[in-house]
Amino acid sequence: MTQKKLRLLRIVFAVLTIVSTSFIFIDLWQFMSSSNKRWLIFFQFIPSVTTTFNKISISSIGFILILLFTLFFGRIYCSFFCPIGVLKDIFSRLKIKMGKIKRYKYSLPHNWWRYSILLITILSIFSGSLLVIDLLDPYSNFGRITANLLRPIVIFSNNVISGILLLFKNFSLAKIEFKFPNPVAIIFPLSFLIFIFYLAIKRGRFYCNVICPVGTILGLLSRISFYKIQINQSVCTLCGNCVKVCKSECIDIRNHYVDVSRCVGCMNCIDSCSENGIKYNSLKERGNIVDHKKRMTFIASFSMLAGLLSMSPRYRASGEHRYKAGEVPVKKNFPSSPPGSKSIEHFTTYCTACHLCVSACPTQVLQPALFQYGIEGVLQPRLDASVNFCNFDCIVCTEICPSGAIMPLTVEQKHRTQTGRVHFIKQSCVVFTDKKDCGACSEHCPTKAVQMVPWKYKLKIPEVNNEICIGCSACEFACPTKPYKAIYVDGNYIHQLAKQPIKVDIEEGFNPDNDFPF
Amino acid sequence: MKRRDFIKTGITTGLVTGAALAFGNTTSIFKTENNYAVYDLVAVKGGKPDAMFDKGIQALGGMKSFIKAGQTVVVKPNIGWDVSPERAANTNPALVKRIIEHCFNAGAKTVYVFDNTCDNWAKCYQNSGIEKAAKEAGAKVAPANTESYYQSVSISKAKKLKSAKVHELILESDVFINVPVLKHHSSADMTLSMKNLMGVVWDRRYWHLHDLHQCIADYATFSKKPTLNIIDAYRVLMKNGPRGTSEADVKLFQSQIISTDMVAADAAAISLFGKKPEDVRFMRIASDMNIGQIDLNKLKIARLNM
Repeated sequence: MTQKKLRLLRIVFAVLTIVSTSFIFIDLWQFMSSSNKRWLIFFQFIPSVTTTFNKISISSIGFILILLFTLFFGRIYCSFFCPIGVLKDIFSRLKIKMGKIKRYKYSLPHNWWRYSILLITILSIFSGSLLVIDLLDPYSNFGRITANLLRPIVIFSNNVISGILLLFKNFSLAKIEFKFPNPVAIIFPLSFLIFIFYLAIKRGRFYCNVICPVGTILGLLSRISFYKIQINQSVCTLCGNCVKVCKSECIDIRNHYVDVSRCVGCMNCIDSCSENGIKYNSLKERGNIVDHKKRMTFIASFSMLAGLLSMSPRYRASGEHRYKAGEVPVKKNFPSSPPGSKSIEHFTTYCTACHLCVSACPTQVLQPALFQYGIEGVLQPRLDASVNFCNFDCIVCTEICPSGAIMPLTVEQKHRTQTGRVHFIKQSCVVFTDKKDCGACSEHCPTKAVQMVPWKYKLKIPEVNNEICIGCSACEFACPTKPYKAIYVDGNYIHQLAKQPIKVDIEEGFNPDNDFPF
Repeated sequence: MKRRDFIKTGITTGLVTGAALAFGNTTSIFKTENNYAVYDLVAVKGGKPDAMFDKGIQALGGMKSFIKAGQTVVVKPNIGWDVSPERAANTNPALVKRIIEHCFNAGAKTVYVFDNTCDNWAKCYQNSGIEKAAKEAGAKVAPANTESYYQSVSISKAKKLKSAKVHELILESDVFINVPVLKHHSSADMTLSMKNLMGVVWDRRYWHLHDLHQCIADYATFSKKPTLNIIDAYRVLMKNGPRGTSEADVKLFQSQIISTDMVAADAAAISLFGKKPEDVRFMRIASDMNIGQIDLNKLKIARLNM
């Protein structure tokens, strides 16, 4: 029977999913370009949805295919493409391998819980916040786990191997400097990992069927799917093999009933049945069975769609009270959101905090925020000048962002994108306090928005030009004063178009047609 | 133990060399059988960077005057910025390549190339064209991006920079060739031979915080001095240095300065730029500290045309 091979197919996809999704977060050596990496997460549901509501493009419509798959085969996303789902399957499998033979048994659905959580998610979207989705979305959670837990281990291993190679005078593998992220960026994914590990070894796909809003919404849709897994009463011997391998605990053998809203399409049951008594049946094969829950499906689907539509910023006036937009700040009023993110509002609306850009950023200037964006933006990346500065010619984060929070920029656009503005505090500058030349800020400035101009005692002191500053924070990073920097960048709530750097004609200098001046 | 021995040997050798340079007749050390190296400084103009080096180094008796067979060489260009060669913020890659070729021809065992960059190091190495050029010539391109590559040394003659963390390849090398690019510099006025040495130490913020000009001169007193300084003045960044904002900041000088004396080389390059060497504060300090000869009239100069 060909359907027996579906489990193998699922395992192949699952392995590809977890390997490729992990790879994009730990590719420290830039084996693959960031625009290609985007395709490896084409099927990730939530980022694909948020991107599409921003700007429709071929690379962002993965979620439409997932919805189609679901309409045909049920929630196969959860077993084929969801990295957290696959991770949980690995955990469950490990427990079985470790000798503790786990047998699943049927359990009743936790409808009250799962639909309440879905409702809260939808309501929070209506209110203009993606916070709940950010915290529960499986892809983003997987991203945070790989970026903040696995990646440091990979960096450490890289450096150990590099150190060993160095003993043999081999410089082919460079060490990678690692900045410890803020504790929340460690604690949150670690707690999540422990939480799903515990649930996976105890109850299989419990998280997917009770908490995960993606699982619940796809579950509603799969109630009306064309193909459904069903038990053939005429051949079923009630042996219970299918029940024992069902991680979703959704096979009620006594009533010959499979709860498709909880079935994650892992195909274990099909493989387990020696009588071919459980398999996918098409609508025709099933006969026209009336399903009262269909109505609910439509209502919920429309709510979700409407909720997502409402994310467009014009509905989000309520979110603005925390920030004072349009004012020239005298101290750091706003964090700097990544170039291409348009505004802090746009960024915090669409970012799901998957930390893919944090992992891909070559200078590591992108670091998870604590509460700099407010509670809604917890763990969303910001430009952290204490770690590094944003490379002038780099557009990696704009190419790789899967959720539409950071929109694509060309290098030329990036050169003019002002994510923040420079501010100079003379009283804190070493030239002013120590009467000694420094100029580290001006050295690093790619647009010369910071110039050294003549001052007293034949010294030169920084002078800033906000118009041509792009907010890369190179000056702030380079400034040697402690504990507070004498020059800093305050984020722009709404990104601005910087003016072109000033060009000056050159007249002086040596002409090789003349004699040497010495 | 091995590392310690390395440093010990390095420092001792360096001290002896340094003392010889300071008290002895410099030119006589480099005098070869052919009696070539009678010049303190070579200035070349009117050609491509690699061809100018061919001619310039010949006036000093060729690279064999500086490198013995089997020696380990570090070639230290300026790779500080993630910009293309046309922007002239980094040393010309063709020049770096040709220098490495000369090193191997002279019998060098290994040639290392590195810089502690300002922009992201991998992008600097790549987009400056230096990584590719150096590898083509057979050199090993080494990273310098983490503190673990650096060793603490003390600088006895320094006034402010009493100690620094120096890249281990410098300390372990037999010959150290300094290849700065001549350019305008917002903080140090000019960046040249002495300023280029900031790229072999780890903590640059300390220099900026404790009198940059004094620290530049202080580090130039460190025993492990460059054997040879080759200043790339082919394309020169006249404004908005050290990074530059566009090619509009660049002027074609088509020149090159070669000298064993950092101060002399820098003085000549500053004159090319159109300034007086004494106008740059680290030059005055270096001259006062007897690091080298600032007065170009006291030097024997070979002026070569292509």
